[in-house]
Amino acid sequence: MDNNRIELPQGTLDLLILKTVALQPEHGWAISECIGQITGNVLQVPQGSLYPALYRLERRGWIKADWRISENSRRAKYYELTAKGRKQLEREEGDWRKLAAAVAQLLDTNEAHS
Amino acid sequence: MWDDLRYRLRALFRRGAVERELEEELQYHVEHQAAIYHEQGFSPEEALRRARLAFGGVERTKEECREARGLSLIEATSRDFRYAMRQCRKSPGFAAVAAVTLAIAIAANTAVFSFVRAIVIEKLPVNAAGRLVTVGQRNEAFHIDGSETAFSYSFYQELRSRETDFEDLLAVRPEDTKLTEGGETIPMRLELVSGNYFSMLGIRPAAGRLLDECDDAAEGAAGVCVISHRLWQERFAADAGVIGHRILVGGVPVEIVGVSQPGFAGVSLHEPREPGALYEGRAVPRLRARPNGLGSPSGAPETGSEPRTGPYAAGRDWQTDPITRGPASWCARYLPVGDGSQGIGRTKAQLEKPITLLLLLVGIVLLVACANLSALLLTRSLERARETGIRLALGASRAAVIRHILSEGLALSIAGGAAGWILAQLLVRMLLRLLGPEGEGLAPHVRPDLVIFGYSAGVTLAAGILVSLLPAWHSAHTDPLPRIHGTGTAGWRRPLATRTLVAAQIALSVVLIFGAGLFVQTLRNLRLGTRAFDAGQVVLAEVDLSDTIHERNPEPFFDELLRGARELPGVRAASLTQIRILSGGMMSIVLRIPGYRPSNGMSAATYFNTVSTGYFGTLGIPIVAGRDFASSDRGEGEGAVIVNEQFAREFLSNDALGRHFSYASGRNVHVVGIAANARYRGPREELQPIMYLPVTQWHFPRDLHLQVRTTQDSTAATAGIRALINKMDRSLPIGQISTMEMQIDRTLTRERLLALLSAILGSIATLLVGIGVCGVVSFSVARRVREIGVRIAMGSQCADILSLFLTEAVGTALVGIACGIPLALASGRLASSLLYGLKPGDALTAATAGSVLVLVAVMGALVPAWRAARLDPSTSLRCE
Repeated sequence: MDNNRIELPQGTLDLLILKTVALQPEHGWAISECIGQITGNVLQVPQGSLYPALYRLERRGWIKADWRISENSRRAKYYELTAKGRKQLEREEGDWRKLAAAVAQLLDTNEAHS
Repeated sequence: MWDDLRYRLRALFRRGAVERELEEELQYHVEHQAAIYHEQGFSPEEALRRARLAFGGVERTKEECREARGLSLIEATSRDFRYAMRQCRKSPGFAAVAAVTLAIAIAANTAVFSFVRAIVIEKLPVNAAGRLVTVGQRNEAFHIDGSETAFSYSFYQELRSRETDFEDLLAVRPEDTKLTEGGETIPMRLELVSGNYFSMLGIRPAAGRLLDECDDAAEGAAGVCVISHRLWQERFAADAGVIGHRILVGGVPVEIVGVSQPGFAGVSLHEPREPGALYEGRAVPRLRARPNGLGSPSGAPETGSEPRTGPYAAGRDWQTDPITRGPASWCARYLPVGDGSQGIGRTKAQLEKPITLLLLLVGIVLLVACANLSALLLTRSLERARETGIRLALGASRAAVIRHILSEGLALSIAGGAAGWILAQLLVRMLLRLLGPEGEGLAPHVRPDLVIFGYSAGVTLAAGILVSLLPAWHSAHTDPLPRIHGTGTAGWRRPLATRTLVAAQIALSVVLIFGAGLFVQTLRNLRLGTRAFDAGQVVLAEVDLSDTIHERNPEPFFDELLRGARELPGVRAASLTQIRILSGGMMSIVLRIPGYRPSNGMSAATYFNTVSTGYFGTLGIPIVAGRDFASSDRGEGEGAVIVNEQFAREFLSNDALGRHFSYASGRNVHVVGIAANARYRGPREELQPIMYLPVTQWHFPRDLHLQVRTTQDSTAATAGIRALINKMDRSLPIGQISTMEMQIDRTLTRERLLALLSAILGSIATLLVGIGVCGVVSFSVARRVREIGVRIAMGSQCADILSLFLTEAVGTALVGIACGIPLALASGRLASSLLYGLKPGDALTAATAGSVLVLVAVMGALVPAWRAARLDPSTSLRCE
């Protein structure tokens, strides 16, 4: 397996899911596949924790689910972003970017001094 | 928020659909993945296997999904309870024992709490009942043993007119009388009250008007009364026309002017009465309050004393603010103020302590039951260790395991609580019967209602949690793997935990058995102390000639009665007495004794009794000097009296015979005999001076008690006396006929209640200890089957194996007893005021309690130990 795969940092799974379903409504398998593909398999969603996360986000009203016919003409449960979810995504995205920038800045500073 | 709720509700009500969707969704995922593997060239079976492997535990994911979607509380609970039910069905014997144990404990707690609420917590249904106080009189001229007496109406008027810290004062005198209405006569309890009674208590009329101050002023006018709402409904069919109607109360015509509001029945909470006011053509209404003791011919004798009344007052907070600005400095000293929140009834004063103590005892029984079941559940979890281990390994969270055991405990306790609720109603009825006459007044106050139900439910839940707490914690905190292998080492802490629980149970049981021992001995001591009668028994019958043709001249009737009684078969002695001794009743009187200087400045006072010839012989009280009364002790001159030794010691410096003195308004008497000391009012009283007067002396009493000492059994003797009275006058109503023993028992209600109930509770605890020890030793045997097999194979004898387990049981018991005895001694101190004839730290009782428990522990251990000793080594060695 890929050696450059990293563990998903705590709390980022929600952000990844929200972002993925924001692109287009997807079913569970596709969501995990999509995250893997886009990140070049650096990020892998553990399949066991994907579904509980989906249910949690649905309960909060950030995504909603309905049954559609999938590409292989079977019934599958598709998740899509709600208006509330979009706001949440923007907030979490902003937070993440700020965090990433701050971490990067700190790491850069360390580099300069050492 | 709204989304969340909708989501949860859908999960709750469309559970089937939601579950199917979850299943389908995960299925889709796995199959989709399998299809991709298949495209990559794997066989369909291999592709599916790989997909499943990649996904991980489906069941675990499902469980997490359920949790994530917010498993509804109801759903989770019902699932847990279904599981608990399955567990209970698996071992119905254990479930039954557990439920019955809890039912008994919960029922006892519910029943006793009903009484605690009625006796200790409940207040009179009047305006600001918490601020009411009773005012008695501690008049040393009249008081003998610290009890308060009532005082006169004029005193009440005087007190009310003065500047005191009381907002207002009302006077009330309870009276037992008869109501004649529509040709029917029924016994009635009545209160003679002052005019401000209703306004001060804030009572409204349901019909007509209530009494007011104008009724006080209307002296000499026709009597008026207010009837209670209940009487109005029961006797007068709630007819508004009853206002203005005349009834006969105790033979006196009285006009009904109104009906009081529903729920109000006088100022004795546990003794419902009809408030009324009765006036005679005298200057002062004949009012008197607070009878001294129950069923006594209240207060001081008629002779010479003023008509008396007991003010009953509303003051400020009575505990912190007694009369500080009383009419005189003696006010605070001689007008003791008491808690009036339940009115003038004495139930609280009498029963508050024993009933709270009982609540403590039943609480301990509940704890014992919980410790017992907890220990049994713990040992049982050994049998289920494998199952629990597999569940944990399969991905059940620790919380889920804890929840399961908790719900099992709760299922047991709820089953017990439901049965306990029904049992509690029976227990309440039993307690009421035990309380005798006092129980009658309490009956309406101990009916089950929402508060009682809430208490019972609370106790039930607490019990369920207590029972399962330790087993749940243990199950969740052991490593699953060794359990699945069945190597048993994982549960090493559990034997210790179970033994601790059994030891705790024994410690608490020591307290219960010790308490039971104290109360049973107290009752025995009190009974022994009053048994002045060596053989046979004394039967008493009240004969009241008031309102009969014998009223004017009762002496010939009583003479004939006495003669007849002495000729009854089996009768050894018979006599007449005005006071039934040891019944709580009393009469007292002030003395004028030449040469006697009282230490406290108050004049001498004594109990007295009016008796016929043969009184001392009937009761077996020896005359130590002088003579008994003779029928010649009559006439208007100087009378003859007999005094007891205490009287002689206290007032006549031990030289009583032939001494002259006078009593009350100046009757001169001389002492003709000295009787041995005997208790007068009750079994607990200290020795008191008593003066005996002959019935024949001046005014022959109309209301006397015939007492006979007989060798017959009480039913035959009672029938004989009844027949005798009927033969003499068929129209004479015969009051209650009872034996002296029954009468003493009635004054020992508290003690009997405590002795009986603590003995029952102690027995329950003992039984539970037996079950607990049996359970814990069985567990120990089960754990050590292999070891026992080895021992037997190596030549251990039956006795060796027995002693192995008996030592273990006795060790546990001794630890429990060592902890329990200090606890018992400490709690004995709480009960010290209720004991008689022994110390609250009675060493013998404590030792007995300990020995009983060791014995029970041995007996409980014997059954499983015996089974262990009889094990067949060839099978036990092969046991896994």
